[in-house]
Amino acid sequence: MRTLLLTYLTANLTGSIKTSQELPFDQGGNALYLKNMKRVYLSEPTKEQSTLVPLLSEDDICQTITTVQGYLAMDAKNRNADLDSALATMATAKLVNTITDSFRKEFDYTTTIDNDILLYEFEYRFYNIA
Amino acid sequence: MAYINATTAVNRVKLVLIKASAMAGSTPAETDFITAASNSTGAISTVANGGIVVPGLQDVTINNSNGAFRWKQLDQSGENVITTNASNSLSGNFVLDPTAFFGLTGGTGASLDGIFKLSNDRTQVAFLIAPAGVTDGSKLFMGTGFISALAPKVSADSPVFVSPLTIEVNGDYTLATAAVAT
Repeated sequence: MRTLLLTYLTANLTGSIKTSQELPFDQGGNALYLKNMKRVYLSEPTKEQSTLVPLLSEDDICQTITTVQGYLAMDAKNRNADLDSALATMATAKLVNTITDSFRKEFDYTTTIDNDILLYEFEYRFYNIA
Repeated sequence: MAYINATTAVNRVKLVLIKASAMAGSTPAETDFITAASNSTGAISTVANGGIVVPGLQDVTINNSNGAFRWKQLDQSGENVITTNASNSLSGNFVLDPTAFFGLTGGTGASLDGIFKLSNDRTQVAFLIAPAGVTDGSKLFMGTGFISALAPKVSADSPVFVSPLTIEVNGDYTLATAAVAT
């Protein structure tokens, strides 16, 4: 899932905001995405299984929710001219046609400001029948 | 207080359908539906007469609704009542399994036709419902009737087909005790 998203984002983020192929790990207490601003980082997917249709038998129909978190750090003072189109591209990435087996796809993000950094933390969620 | 426990693997609710024409006698018996089952696991080992063990049951309601005839008498302040013929039906919801719904190629009886054809052709069916499984000593409801109220539905939030199912019962239920499990 992460690979497919990253492939789409790498091909479509063509302005000053680009992707990083690295995982968003911390180095010496500093997150890599804070060090390398204007780079979209995607984490490894996490999976969560829950009951979609409960049955009287023990074989409930389950769904698997695959979550991919991402990070993008920007300058908090001067708004980047490519930011809107980059956010639109990131939202569109959930619909990438190479992810074929999900019946629901969601994307959202939150923003926080810390000193001079505006941090976008975003999340993709893909729902599959398990 | 005792209760009917349908939550353990051994005591799962079972619903078996056969064609009424396949019954050995005029009233349904356990052996018309099941010829072997396991007391230790609760699984049905052998189904008779091409029976369908309805998979994916979400809920089941056994309806036994007696009619009522009421009358008033001048010498009494309250109405008198007597119950009359019951409307019996078995209803529930199930997740569509392609084999059970559309029929099993190479199957026999009800399993060959599938639930949809049994309903569409208005074929009389016999049913066995085991509220607490089919282990020895469990109570069984049996009867004959017709499948109705199929309405398969799918939605974006629930992307598997689910359908209500009603068996309009012809006459009375037959209550029996399971005895074929070993």
